[in-house]
Amino acid sequence: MSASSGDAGLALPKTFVLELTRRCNHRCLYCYTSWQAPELAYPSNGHENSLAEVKELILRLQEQAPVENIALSGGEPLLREDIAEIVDFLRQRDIAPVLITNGARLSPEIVDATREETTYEVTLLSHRKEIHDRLAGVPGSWDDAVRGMANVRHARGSLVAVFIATKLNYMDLHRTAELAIALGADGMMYNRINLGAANMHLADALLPTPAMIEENLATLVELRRQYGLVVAISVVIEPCVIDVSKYPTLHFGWCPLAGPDSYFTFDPAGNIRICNHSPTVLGNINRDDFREIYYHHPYVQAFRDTWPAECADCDPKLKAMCGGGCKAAAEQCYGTLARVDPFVVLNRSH
Amino acid sequence: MAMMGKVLEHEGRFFIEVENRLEELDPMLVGGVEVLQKLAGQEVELVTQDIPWIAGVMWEKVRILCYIPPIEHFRDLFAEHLVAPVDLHAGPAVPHVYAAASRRVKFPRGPLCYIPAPWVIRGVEDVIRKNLLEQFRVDEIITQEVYERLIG
Repeated sequence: MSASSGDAGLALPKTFVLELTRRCNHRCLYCYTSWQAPELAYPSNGHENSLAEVKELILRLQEQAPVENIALSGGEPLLREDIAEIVDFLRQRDIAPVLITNGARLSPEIVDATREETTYEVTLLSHRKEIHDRLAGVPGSWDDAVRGMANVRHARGSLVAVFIATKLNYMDLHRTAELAIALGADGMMYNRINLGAANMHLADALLPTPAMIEENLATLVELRRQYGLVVAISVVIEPCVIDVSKYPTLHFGWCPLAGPDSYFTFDPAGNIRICNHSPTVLGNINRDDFREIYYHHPYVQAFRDTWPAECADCDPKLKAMCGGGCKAAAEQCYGTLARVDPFVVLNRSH
Repeated sequence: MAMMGKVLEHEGRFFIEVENRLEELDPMLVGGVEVLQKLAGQEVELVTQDIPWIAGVMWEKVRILCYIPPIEHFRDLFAEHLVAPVDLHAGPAVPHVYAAASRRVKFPRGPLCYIPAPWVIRGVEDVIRKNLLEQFRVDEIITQEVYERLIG
């Protein structure tokens, strides 16, 4: 089978996520990792690939897909002592690394060892440390993140600040973005909280209302105009809840529906999922061919073809744009791809 | 609502596709060819050029080669009513508001000559970072240690 096109004529994806470890030094209220939710029965195998196994995984993947970008995630990927070697190996293989981190372990030494060609995505939840620490679940996490971002800037690394909007911090967006700029961020990723099974019970306390999100979108437009800050919105904001056409200068992300723009995810043991939010394991890179999964796995086909019941009467133009919201979140929270994610369900019910 | 357009590259030349027409971009107006190469293929926010309109004399007739929008206060007037005597001695460097008032020129409805907005091109400037950093230090939001790390 070709590595550039398959039976269905669908191009293979170029971007992937490697979850290097389940370990984490934070207890984020917005965390959606499937292994935290017992009800999802995620494989309990806590195996964490060794450095040699991670390299083998990357080589196998490169044989099976035209890999251009790999985001290193977790857990907290910087808890791995061999993170510099992993990043270096990606560079040797001409793969652009992205490090998704809470910043706590971004010491000058780690930054120096990893910064070449790397983009750091560091979570900054507020300019108020008490709010950031509350959302991250660990006292002192704001200080660590700020220090880590300063270390990246000092080393002239490429830095993106990640803001997860919740009811607790949405009102801090403008000042937080200004802080991110001061700390050296070239861009900001803005995501509304995307609930999972482990934190669904916190929906009332955390999930922003449409009015809160709209206030944030207006702020993002202003930040772009005022400072030239590049803004990307990754988690889908469904157009049936908010008219995103009012914000043409913002780049909205939509579910790539397991297609060429998707980011299939490998957990620390090599298990393959459709994305980092999906709870469903499709196989393991150590024994399964990625192309076989991508082109022929029944779950992947179902993911592409299933439409949430709530979308039945939706305007076809909106439907084509939105792709049915975040089906992975729907599966985590409601146990099915055939519903739309909680952001729509809960905001409609209100 | 912001005006949007797509930056296109064709055989080394650059264009803005806006309102179903193409306008060629002068790379010198937007920071060089490299900037435009990065933007090629992207939908970007646009502004109109902040330069006077340009006229040329062709076959003894004045021909407007390129328009910019008049200041907001005069835009409707120019677009709807302006027909004034032509002054051939007024060169292209004459501020357009004055020049327009003395010409028999029918202004088009709406501006031409778009370029990508400055904030699309330049990103965050260092002086802005420093000013914000100073604010956060004065407000004691960041520590002296972090401040010095960034200033250094």
